[in-house]
Amino acid sequence: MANKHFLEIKDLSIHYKTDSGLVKAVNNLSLNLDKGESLGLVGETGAGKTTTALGIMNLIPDPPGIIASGEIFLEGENILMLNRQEMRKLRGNKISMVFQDPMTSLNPVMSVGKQIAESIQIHEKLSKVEAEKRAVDVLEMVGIPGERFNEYPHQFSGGMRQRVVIAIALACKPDLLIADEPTTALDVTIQAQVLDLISNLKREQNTSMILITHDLGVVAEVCEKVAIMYAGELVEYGTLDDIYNHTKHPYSIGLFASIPNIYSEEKRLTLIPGLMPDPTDLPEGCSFCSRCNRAVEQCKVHNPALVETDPGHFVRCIHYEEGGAL
Amino acid sequence: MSRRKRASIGTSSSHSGYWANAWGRLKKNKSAIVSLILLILMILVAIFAKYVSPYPYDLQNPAEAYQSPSAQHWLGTDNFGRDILSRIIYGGRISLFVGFFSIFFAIIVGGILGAVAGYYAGKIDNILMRTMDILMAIPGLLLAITLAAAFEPGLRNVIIAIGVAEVPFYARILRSSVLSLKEQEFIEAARCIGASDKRIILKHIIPNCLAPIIVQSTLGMAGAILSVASLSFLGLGIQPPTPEWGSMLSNARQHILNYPHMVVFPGLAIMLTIFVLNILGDGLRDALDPRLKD
Amino acid sequence: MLKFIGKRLLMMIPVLLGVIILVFTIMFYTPGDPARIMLGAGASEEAVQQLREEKGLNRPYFVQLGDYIKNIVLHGDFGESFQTGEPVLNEILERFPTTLKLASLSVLVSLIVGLSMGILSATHQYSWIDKFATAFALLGVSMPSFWAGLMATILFSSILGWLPASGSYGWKYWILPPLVLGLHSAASIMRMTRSSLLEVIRQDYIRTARAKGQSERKVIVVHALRNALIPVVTVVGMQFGVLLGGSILIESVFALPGLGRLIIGAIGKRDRMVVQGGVLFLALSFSFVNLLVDILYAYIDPRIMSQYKALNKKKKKVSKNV
Repeated sequence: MANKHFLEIKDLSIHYKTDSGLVKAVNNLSLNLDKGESLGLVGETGAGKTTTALGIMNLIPDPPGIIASGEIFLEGENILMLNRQEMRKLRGNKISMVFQDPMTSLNPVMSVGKQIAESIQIHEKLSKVEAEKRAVDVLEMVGIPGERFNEYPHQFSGGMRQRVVIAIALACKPDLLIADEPTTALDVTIQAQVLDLISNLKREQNTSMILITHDLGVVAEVCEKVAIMYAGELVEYGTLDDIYNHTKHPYSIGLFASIPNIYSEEKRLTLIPGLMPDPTDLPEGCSFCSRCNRAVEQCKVHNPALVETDPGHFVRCIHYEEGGAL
Repeated sequence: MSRRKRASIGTSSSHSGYWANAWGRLKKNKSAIVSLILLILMILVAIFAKYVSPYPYDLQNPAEAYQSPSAQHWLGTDNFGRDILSRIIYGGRISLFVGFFSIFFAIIVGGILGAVAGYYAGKIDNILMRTMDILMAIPGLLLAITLAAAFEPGLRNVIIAIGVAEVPFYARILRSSVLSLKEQEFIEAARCIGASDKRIILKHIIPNCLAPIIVQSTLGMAGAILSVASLSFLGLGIQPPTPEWGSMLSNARQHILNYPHMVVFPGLAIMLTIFVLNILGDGLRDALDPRLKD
Repeated sequence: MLKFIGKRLLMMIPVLLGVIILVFTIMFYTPGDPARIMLGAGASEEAVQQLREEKGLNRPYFVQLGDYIKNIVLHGDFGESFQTGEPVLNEILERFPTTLKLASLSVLVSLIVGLSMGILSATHQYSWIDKFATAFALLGVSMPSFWAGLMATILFSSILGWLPASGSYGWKYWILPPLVLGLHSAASIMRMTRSSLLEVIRQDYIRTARAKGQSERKVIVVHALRNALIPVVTVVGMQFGVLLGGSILIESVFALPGLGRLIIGAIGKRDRMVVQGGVLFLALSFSFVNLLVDILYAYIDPRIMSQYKALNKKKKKVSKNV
């Protein structure tokens, strides 16, 4: 099989075994990403975005989580087949992750400098002194004075901590950066700074990125490709232009409609009625059909396949399926 | 998730739903339920010791002294030919009695001190809590030994000696519960409609501190039972010939080389009782405060 | 940090003063007349009266208390034994090393056993190691140390004949007592280590460490353990108090010439001054261990260190304003 893409995810399914049943967090997800490209992974809370990211890192908490099926190819190699040690060599080195909450994702009893240097020392054959010297550079790269090397996380503000988290992720110049809602926990003014920092560094290092967010505005600024997730499934996937200007899936349309628009004079925001289905008890048919304004009778029993409507633009909706009800 | 929510509602206002849920969680914990049943059994045996024990606890029979366990004497006999099983059964009476009432004493005294300290705050709080600090600066058993040495020996004084050392724990629980509850709105509301301080303490604050007190007192009873045995072992607690596990061990010590069975069984009785109370205490903690459970 | 320690030491003074007053008061009202005890039952009433006069035992409570405190604070004088006439401090200092040795060895045992079992069972949750360690801990917590001592004597001295049953004449006599005394604390430390570590392992920063590609062993040792240690240190501090209390029983079981046996012996002889002095000494060592624990917190957790430092700064500002 020829894998022309830098990252290729095929039919990934991730489940959690819990007391209240099997949670199907991610179902048959397929994606690909080229070198230097950025993909925005969009969806509401609980759609399976973070689980997908942890799946790529092979950091699904086990138990209760298991990767039920699928393959993840990085530069043609299926990384799900790697043993633990080989996977460790990738983590933090080729694939890095920036986590959502900077307040909790740094070790409170270790100086920030050491936390950065640790990452360097794991992957590069450097002495402790050299690694720490490199860590100072990385610290300054994310805009923190090197003198603060020996300070502890509690001495930093939220925005500064997120810079440290980014520094840890980028310390070894990864090929793929997964940023899981990197700005959600931050003040609005800081959000833009951190986002700029990520996209600049990414551009400089020619890193591919998966940006997880529920903020479509952020995606438009940073990403070339967009994937929209709903209840563990990809519902629409394509280039920025495909998704933003030629939106097809009813859920995506609903998402865009719920963004306030300064040009239109609507008094109320449009909402998508209802809630996401219970992931332990997904419906037999399309998981969005109970909230969809275009649902037809068949949606309840038939879960449509992801269909390529235009080159590179995929939609999972009965209305776009061949012979569908359009 | 929903469990967590319910529990937090439960701790901020004591309605029956919280206790029903806690009981539901406790019921699922098999070892805690087994412990509860065992404990009830022990209490029943202690109450009806007269009918359960095969011999009177003080029946001496020199001809049958130092016997190993047999069909007549299941756990053997001691140096006076007294039946060890019967003495252990009667000893359980003392242990459970002292364990219960010393904790009861500590809850009443510590509870009142802690509630007063937390409720009135300021100087009273300062004086009371510094006094508690002083009590806590002396290791518990040492304080009990000192008090037991000062009092005339006897059941009541042993209860007080052990209870005093436990007082600070309950004072602290009550104080912190009161402090955190005091600021909450339903207390404000009660005060607004003119409820007296006494009424607020009794009707609102006490029911809300019940969960941590139940947990602490179950574990505390285990500690108290250990303390009685320790004091009696040192000759400072219950005096012979009253059967008490610790003093039985103290007596058995002199015969340890030749008649180890005299040492084994009273100790097992102490261990089983404490074991049961510990497991029950752990179970209660998990049931009453689900946030603490892993 | 030095300032914090100084302040903390100052705060200990009123508590220790309170302890002195408390213990003095308890013992003051103990039944039994010290003068009569010193002279024995056969002595005449005049002689007893004279001795009372001489020793100042017929002075009011407050005067005697004031005297007692003054002598301790100014001269380090804990009074004289009614029984032997020796200074109490000498008797205490003679016995204290034994108790200290017993307590320290027991802490060591409990730390080694408790920490390693706690770590193992947390990192192998639900495995047989975990089940074994949890069962061990429950039994250890429930077993009275003096009974464990007696049972160990039966097994190792009487049946196997490997170790001596009592006394203190060499290293062989120092194996069973610390093991038996440390058992209970080991169980408590194991339980706290396990639950604290399980809690920490779920934290986000552990995931961060794994995402760096760190090995699982180092994730535990470098990242999780230090964070999990704070509640464990609290338990160790509390257990030291339990150990001091337990040492009295263990010294009695193994006939070790420590402070605990001195106290128990003195209680039997109604030798008030010795009991008072002994109890004070044990309470004092407990307070010092608690101070040590507070200092240790700061070295484990930099957040606590900054809190301590902030405490000092605040005080400074206030004093400047005044």
